[in-house]
Order: sequence, then C-alpha cells, then structure tokens
Amino acid sequence: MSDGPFIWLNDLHHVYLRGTPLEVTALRGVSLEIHRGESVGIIGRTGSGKSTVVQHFNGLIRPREPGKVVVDGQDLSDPRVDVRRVRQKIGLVFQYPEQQLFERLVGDDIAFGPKKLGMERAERRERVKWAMEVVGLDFEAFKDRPTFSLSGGEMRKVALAGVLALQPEVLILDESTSGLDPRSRKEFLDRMLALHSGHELTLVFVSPSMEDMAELVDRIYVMDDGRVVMSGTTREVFSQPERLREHGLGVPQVTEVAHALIARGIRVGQVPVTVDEGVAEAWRILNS
Amino acid sequence: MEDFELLRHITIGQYLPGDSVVHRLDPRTKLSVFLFITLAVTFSLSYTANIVLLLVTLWLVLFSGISLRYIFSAVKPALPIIIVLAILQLLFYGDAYTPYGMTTQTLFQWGWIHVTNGSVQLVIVSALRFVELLFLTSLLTNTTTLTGITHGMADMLRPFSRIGLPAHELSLVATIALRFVPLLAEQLEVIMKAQASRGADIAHRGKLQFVTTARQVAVLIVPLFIDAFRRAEDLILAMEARCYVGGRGRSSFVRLRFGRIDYVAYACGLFFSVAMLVFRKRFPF
Amino acid sequence: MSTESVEPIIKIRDLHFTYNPQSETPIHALKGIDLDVYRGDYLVIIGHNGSGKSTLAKNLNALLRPIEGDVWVEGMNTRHLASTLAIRSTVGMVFQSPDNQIVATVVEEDVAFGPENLGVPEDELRERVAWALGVVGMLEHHRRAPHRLSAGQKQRVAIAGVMAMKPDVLVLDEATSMLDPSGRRDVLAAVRTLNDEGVTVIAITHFMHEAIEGNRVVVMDAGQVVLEGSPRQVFARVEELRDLQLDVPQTTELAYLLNRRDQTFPPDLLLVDEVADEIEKRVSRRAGS
Repeated sequence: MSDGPFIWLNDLHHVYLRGTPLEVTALRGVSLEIHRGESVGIIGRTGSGKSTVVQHFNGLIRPREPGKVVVDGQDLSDPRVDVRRVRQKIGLVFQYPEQQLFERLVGDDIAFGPKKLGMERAERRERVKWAMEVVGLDFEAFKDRPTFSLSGGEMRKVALAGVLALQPEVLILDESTSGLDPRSRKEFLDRMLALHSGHELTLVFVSPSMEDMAELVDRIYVMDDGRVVMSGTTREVFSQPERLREHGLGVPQVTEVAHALIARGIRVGQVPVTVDEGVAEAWRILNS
Repeated sequence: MEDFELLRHITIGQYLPGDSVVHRLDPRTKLSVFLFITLAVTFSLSYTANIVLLLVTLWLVLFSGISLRYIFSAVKPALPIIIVLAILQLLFYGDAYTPYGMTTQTLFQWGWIHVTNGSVQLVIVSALRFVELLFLTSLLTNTTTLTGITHGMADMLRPFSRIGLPAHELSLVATIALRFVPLLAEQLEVIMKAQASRGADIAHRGKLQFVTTARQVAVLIVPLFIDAFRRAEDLILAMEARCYVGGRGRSSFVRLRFGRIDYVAYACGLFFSVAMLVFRKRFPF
Repeated sequence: MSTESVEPIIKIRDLHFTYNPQSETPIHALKGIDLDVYRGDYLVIIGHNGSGKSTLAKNLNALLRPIEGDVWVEGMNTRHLASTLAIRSTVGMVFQSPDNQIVATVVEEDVAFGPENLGVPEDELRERVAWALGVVGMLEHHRRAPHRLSAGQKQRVAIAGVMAMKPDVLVLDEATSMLDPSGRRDVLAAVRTLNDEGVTVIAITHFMHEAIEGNRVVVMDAGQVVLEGSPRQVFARVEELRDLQLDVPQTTELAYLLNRRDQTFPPDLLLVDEVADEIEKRVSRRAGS
C-alpha cells in the first residue's frame, strides 16, 4: 500500500483563455497534496484560484509544463490516462450543483453516473438507494418524483447523491453550501462528516469563508492570487488573523475574541476555533 | 486535450476597437449607409457597377483599419460550399440567366451542361456581390459595439411606435439577449464540467463538436434551458420592481447625437446609392 | 417626549398569502403577519428558507398581493392596482441574483432603467445615475460592462439602479446570499450609508451576523413572526433560536454559555469587543482583589 499522497500537485500554473484578449492567469505555481483519509480545506477569496486548483484533481483541466498532477499514482499529463476512471475516484461537486440536474425523474438522474460506469440495472439501483440514504432522501418516496418539482434543498441533495453514486474515494465540495440556510448547511456538513469518519471518504472543502472550516477540516491551504499563501493545521492557520485579513479572509468570532484578549495583555492558552473551545478557555481564564 | 473554454469561441459581433472616422460615426449613420449601399448592391447586375461597388467598399474597409485577413477568415469554413454552388451555377444556369448588356452566347454545351456568357457573368457578379456584402457587414459590426447598434436601431424604430410598432420592447429584447448570451455560455461551460465530472462523455473536439448523440444533448440542453428560464423569471421580477410597463412614457438616458462627419457620411452614402440605382441599367457592361 | 404618534411608513395587518390557492397543494406561506415599519428603520427579517420571509418581502411592493389582510405603503394599499407604480417607486427591491437583475450592457444604462420607466427627464436622469452610483461606490465603473464586474460590484449596481428611482424604502431580498465575504461587506457598507442618509432599510437574510446591523430584528418561522425586538433582545433568546435551528453570533453564544456557568456574566453580548472587555474587567477585578 503506497504511503504517498493520493493527490499531488506540483508547481501548477494555469491561464484561462490563453492567447485571447480575455486572458487571465489563475494559478501561479501551486503545490499541495492530499493524503488518503484526510479532511482538507482550501480557502481563499473569489478569484484566488481555488476552484481552478480542484478542477485539476479530476482532470477537467490538464496540467501544463512545468506543472505536475499525480492522482493515485497516475500522472495526468499523460494523454493516455483514462480520465473517466479518475473521475470515478475523485468526485467533484460544484457550487449550486442542482443546476446539473437534467433527468425527468430523481432516480434516473442519480443513476446517470453509475450508468456511465457501465453498471447493470440491479447494481445501479443499489447504488442509487445507497446514495439517497446517505444524503437523507427516502428511496421509495423520492425515486420516481419529477426532479424539478422538488424544493431547492432537495434538488441539491439529488445532485450530491448523483456524485456519491459513483462511490468516489475522494469527495471535493466546491462551495457546496452556497445559498443554504443555517439549518440546511448544518445538516449538510454533518452528513459530510459522517461520510468522512464512517466511510473513510477523503474530503476536500473549498470555500471563501471560515465558518465551515473549523469544525470540518484538519488541515487548511490558504490561497490568494493564484498561490498557496498559508498552510498548516486549522489551529495554526487560525492563529494568524492578521495575515488572513490581508488575504481577504476572517477568522471565527471566538478566535477574534481570543485575539482581542491577547491584545489586552491576557494570556490565552490554546487559541479556540470553536465556541465550545472558547467557553472552556474563557472559563479557565476567568477562574485561574 | 479537452477544452471547456466556450467563451473563446463566442466573438459575437466581433467589435474591433479602433479610432478611424468610421468608428466614430453615429450607429444610425452606419446602419443607414449600410442599408443604402446594400440596396444598391442588390440591384446591380453589371460588371461595371460591381467593380465600382467593390472598390468603394474595399476602400471603406481599409479606411476603417479592419484587417482583410480577419474578414476573410470568417468565410473560410463556408468556402467549399460557395465554390460548389458557383460551379453548379456556371454549368447549369446558362439557359435561365439573361446576361446584362449582351446577348446570350453559348460557350460550351454538352448534355445538360450549358455554359453561356450569361452563366459566366452570373458567377462572377455573384462572387463580387458576396464580397461587397461581406465588406459592408464587417464595416458595420466591426466598428460598432453591439450596444451601439441596439441603441441605433431603437432610435431609428422609435417613430414607428406611433403606428403601433413596439419599438422599445424590441430593442429591449435585443439588449437583454446581448446581456445574457455570455452568461449562458458560461453556464453551459459549468454544466459541461459538472456532467463530465460524473462521467458524461463531454470531449471538446475542435470547433464545438462536443455532443454526438441526442442523449448527450439532453444532458447539456435541459439544464441550460432551465437556467435560462430561471434567469428570465428573476429578470421579470426585477423589471417589474423597477416599474417597467413597456415603452410608453419612457424617457431615455442614451442620447445619440449627430456630428458633422455623420451628415457628410450620410449624404455621401445616400448620394452614391441613389446614383448606382438610377444608373443601374446604363452601365456599358 | 413627544406624544404624537408617528405613522409607520409601511403598515401590515393580518397578512395572509397562499401560493396556488386553487390547486391540490396550496402553500400557506404567510399566516397572519402584523408589522409596522417606521421611517429610518433598519429592519432585519431572519428565518429559514420556507419561513415566508421572501413572500413577505414581495408583498411590500405589490409584486404579490394579500389573500387576506392588508399592506399599506405610505398610506397606499397594495391591493389598489392604480397605486402599483407609486408603491414600487416608493419601495425599491434588490434580489438575490447579482446577474439576473441587470438589464443593460453598460452599468450607467442599467442604473438609468428605473427612472427611465418613470419618465424622469433627461438631465435629471444623468444626475440621479451619477448620485446613485456614487452612493454605492461604483461611479468609476459607470461605463463598464456588468459582465466584467465581481458579484459584490454587480449587487451594488443593482442597488444603485433601485436607488435611482429615489425610493423611501430599500428592501434587500437575500441580496447577500450569493456573495463571498468581501462582497457582502461592500454591500452592507453601501446599505449602511443609505440608511444613515435616511433610507428605510428592510433586509431579509438568513445570515445571523447581518442582523446586528439593524435596529430591529424580526424572526419568522412557518409563515409567522415568532420573535421581535432589538438585535440584542432577540439574540439573547438563545434557547428559542436554537429550537428554531437558527444560528446566533458566536459571541452571543459564548456569552450565553458563560452565563449558564456564572449567572453574573451578561448573556446578551453581541460584539467581539464587548465580550473581550467583560472578560478583561473580571480578570483585573480578580487580580486587584
């Protein structure tokens, strides 16, 4: 069993609409790696290049010299690589994924991926059932519902199930909670965490905001202007609010409270990144 | 290599910024002169008239700084068809077409093939007229922004609203279409990527040949249509909230103003076209 | 203190609204709303998707009309069709999608769209467009194509387009939902400027931290108003908000949980500095004792 990273990017550059008057440089030498079983966050403001980076993970964008992308041992610069296999292993869920739905019935749309993988009807059905359970849609109740009669939140679940039905080893969520209200967002993230721990799914979260990150990921890459500008564990990254602000990002409010206390000369132990940690730390300070 | 960048291929209108006199003319002038000269081209069947028209339009194109290579590159894909049609006309139209300024003379005959001086003239004059129209269209669209063209047309249609033509509504339709085409192109790109990510065969082989079956079309077209309708619904609400009730009683922020060059251009264009039309039957050959 | 009663600029009495009332599955989106909005208010309406908040918004400018009950805007009843244009030019609305509100291909032409519809004469049009773009900080982009702007910039253009009609009330129907944090900041700053200049603001959102901006917060759930008050008052009710599965700002949650352990700790703090100050005060008090 290889111990190397599952996804490895090295010195990746990318220019959109190269050679036209609308040319735009999206990546200026990005290197990062994702190991099996991890939960990693890629944060950055709009335009930082984070979506461009993850589109390299599943071969939607192929690397150009000198950049290299290696996924599960396969070098994606090699034109002979079977990109469809890569896309089965690396599931990518886009922002507003419900916009990809096209089949008349829910079950059919979720079955699209498995069908493309050449599965037989019985196996497809099992996959669809499993995927629907994972996202919280009752199989019997929803499989024959017209896709477009569902609410926005339900349609998003269908879209997510459509990608999960491929049973990828890595799931990339590119701003997948956009537009969800707090309750739906919480439910979504809880399910993702359950998948991660229960099914050992490697997770990559891409987001412009810090709110989701603290509870979800072990490691963070911070991007700005096409480069990785900070990286480390969640705690390490959040303990530098000034630098994050420079890159157009904030920190959770509890972390800001901790830094406000530090600025007032009060000693803070471990900088909290969640409310519970904040309460514990504040209690400790108040009673020491 | 797969390429999802659709915007690369969308160069609608192909406005090429520049500083020539033609660029600075009011869009209404250009639209009018375009119409006048097109009318002249339509009725000009003689060699002489077409040589004159060709030279005039060629001069205008060069004067406005548009590259000839750019103009002809747009025609390249259609060239095979054009050549085939020309050959067919040459070979089979001898009977049907009476030449301008001469009596029909058979040059070659064999079976159904009947080449006359008429069919020769037809082919040559058609080719000349094609090029003239190409130049005229370039002159209009390469030197004027689409927004400018829409405003020009809206202004020119406005008098007709008095007799019931929904002039403002039409020009608003054009503006909204212009506004949303790039957005829909981007949306299509996103949809292609999302579907490719779940295993759809979306491979962009050259010029927009990324679907090969009706099934594959559905994967892209259904979500795109739904997106377009959703946008339309949102836009309707926004327009109603901003008190849009049609063209009646509206004022206008955009004010097109004629300058001196416009009067000159307009007069020259009109004069030239009228002359070509009046003398169309009087040319020597 | 004056004993005159101030007339609310918007008055809502027993508002009911149902989608598809004749069908098999009617949706009772609003079940009896009573609400007064006063001139100069910055009212924030919070609730989940499906709570009825967007439906309520659309009833404010006669995009939707009540099934039961009434909505009055500056004395005009929204059921009165002849008042529709006057109402819509009094209550301007900005929607969620930055792209789908912009009609024209040039920023300043889009901003002019609203006043053009009202027949505003040409020189005043130019003045209004310039003023509106200035207020939202987009004047330098007046000739740009909207397609080239960031989402936050587009929303500011949309706000300018509405403000160019000189409405007294600005309704933001989840106008920040599709923006990233910096876009949201810019839009909120523009709205703050407008409110400071006297524009009544009604912001519908599900972002809790935006509720801090307002002077009043209304919480909706299942078509009804369930909580109402100042941001401080509303957020102090942490348990009820938790039951509704709504977030509270982390600072308030922190204060609330500390209050559970120590009753003297104030539970209704909102701002980072308030919490830090309170902790600092207690630490130095203990150090001093």
